[in-house]
Amino acid sequence: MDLSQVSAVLGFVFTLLIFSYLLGDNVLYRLSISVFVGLAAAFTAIVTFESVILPLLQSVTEYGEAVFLLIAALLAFMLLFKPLRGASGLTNLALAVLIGVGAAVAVFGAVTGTLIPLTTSTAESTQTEGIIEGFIIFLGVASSLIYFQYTARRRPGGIATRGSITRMIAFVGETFVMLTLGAVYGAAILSSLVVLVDRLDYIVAFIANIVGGG
Amino acid sequence: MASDVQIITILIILFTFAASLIIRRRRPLPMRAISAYDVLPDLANESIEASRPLHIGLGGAELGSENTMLALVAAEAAYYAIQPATISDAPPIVTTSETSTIPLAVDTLRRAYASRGMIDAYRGTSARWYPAGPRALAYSGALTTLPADDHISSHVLVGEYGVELALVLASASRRGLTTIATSNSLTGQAVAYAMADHALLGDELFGGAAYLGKLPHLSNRNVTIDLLRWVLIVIIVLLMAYNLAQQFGS
Amino acid sequence: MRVRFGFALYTAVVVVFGILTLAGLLVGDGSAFGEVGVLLAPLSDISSRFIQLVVVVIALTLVIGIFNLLSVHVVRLVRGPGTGARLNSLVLLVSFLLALVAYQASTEYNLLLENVQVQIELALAALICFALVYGAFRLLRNRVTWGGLVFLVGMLIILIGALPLSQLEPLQQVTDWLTRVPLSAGARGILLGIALATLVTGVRVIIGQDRTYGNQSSVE
Repeated sequence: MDLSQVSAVLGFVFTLLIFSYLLGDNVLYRLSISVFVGLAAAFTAIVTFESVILPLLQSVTEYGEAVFLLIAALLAFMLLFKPLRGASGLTNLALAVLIGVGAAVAVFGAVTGTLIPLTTSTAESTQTEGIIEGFIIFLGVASSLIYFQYTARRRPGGIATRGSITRMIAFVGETFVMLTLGAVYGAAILSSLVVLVDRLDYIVAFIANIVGGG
Repeated sequence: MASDVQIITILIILFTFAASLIIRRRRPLPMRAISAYDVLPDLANESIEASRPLHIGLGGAELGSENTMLALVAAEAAYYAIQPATISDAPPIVTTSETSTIPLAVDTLRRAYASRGMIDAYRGTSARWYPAGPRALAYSGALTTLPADDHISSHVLVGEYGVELALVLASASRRGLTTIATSNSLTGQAVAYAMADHALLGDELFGGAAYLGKLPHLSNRNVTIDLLRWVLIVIIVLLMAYNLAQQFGS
Repeated sequence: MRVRFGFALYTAVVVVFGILTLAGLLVGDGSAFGEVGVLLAPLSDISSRFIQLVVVVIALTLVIGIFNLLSVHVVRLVRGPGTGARLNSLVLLVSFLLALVAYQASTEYNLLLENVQVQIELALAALICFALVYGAFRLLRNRVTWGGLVFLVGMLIILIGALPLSQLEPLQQVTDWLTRVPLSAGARGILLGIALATLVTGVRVIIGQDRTYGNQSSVE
């Protein structure tokens, strides 16, 4: 038995072990998951090292680059010691750098990647989709936004609810939101069905191969 | 980036800066009920009574990237979930699939313990990293083993998840665990709505602090988000009117 | 006093790094600002340097991940809550180390382990289908609300629309229209809401109004 055959047999066995979950949560399923997590961790480490860390180390040719890398290593090193109580204050500084830069990137991304393109396309929908369709799209967008509104009014009895007009718009918004989420869920079922059929096909082909003596 | 987009981006951000500085309410505004936030404190009680750990999953929310704010608000919700559960015999577990979020998870746990004067009870193994793996399946696979291996009492899944969330929620349902779930992706939200006991949809995760923190100033973020919702709707109306005028004018 | 100084320092770091990075991203190459643009252009360099720094730090946090994985599972192996948990931690550690050794040893072994990983991944991906169908059934049984019903209608529209039957061709047109108009509107509404919330939360963090790390929770 050569390596490719060992690999195929192992793959088949693990597929069956994972599918055994359908009969109930069992030890064999959990052991397979542990193998998977261990392998995935190793591959994450290998890929990150090969594609990010190693090229970085190899690219250090001048003094400025070396200092830059040293600062990055120092920040990562500070984060490593987060669990230590004495070093916690110091590590918060490294965390603050990640949060500051990350917040700026997130704000910029939200505005240029979502807010402006989606606002523009919604406003242009009467031209791109037709007048009636454009108004339906506007109604859907506006009512969905209002559906998620937080602020409400305190009613007698202490319960906070939104005003009657807001509630009416929110009801329309809920319809659009739920219709969308339902459709997304349906699409997820369809794509996972394709993978399931492929796996069943794989199992049948593997067994046929063994029975057929291939 | 085209210069007009650049100018519009600057204007939007400056407006948000101004709104955030101006909106400073000292008294909390009443807010609509969100079931997940009503239930969250009860999960800690369940954990304490059953002496089983509460699990909070931050998923693929990552610091330093475009997901930074998601990671921060997820950690915020985690803090309020963990804080009352710190007195449990079984310490809460926080998991993440992003290595850069581990320090944030540790920080959240430490703050929760410190706020109760119990920093010595904090255990380093409470913050765990599981690799995302292909299609985030290694992480979600690992979470399906937590009910049997760590005897967790409930799942609070706040962060970035896709369709793989279905595996975790199905395994929890099989064991009768209470689940709260959300995601920043449409697929994750759809799965959360269908399968979790309590789902946070849309931007509801971002408003969590005001519901859970009970401090007056925490609602300012929610009020600012609500203000911007209406401003955005007005802008869309104006742009649509302008486009229609051009469409029929020509 | 120490806490207050630390608190101010962390906030200052967030504010300085946040504002400089954001300013650099907004200014770009400075061409949109005419003559002033030349003076603003260095902000873009600072911003891209900060982003590069964070990308490298994130890559290096891999060490934290590996350290966490090993320490958590070694402790669990020794003091795990049960035999099953200990055994799983042992298997996880062994497979992790085996994969690293195999990577060092030869590419063929690497291929073997990679194949195993791919097969488990695909099997898990297939399991998702059962989980989703179970979820839909659970929704049908438990959540008889307006939202739940509309959700199911949305799901059925997509599922029926995907059936390859010639009799369902008119339905296919309805599905296409629904996808193009109301479904796209709902998706835009949700995504715009998330973008607004990200914008507001991000701005409040950058100006130091929301602090969700360090020794104090959220302050203003």
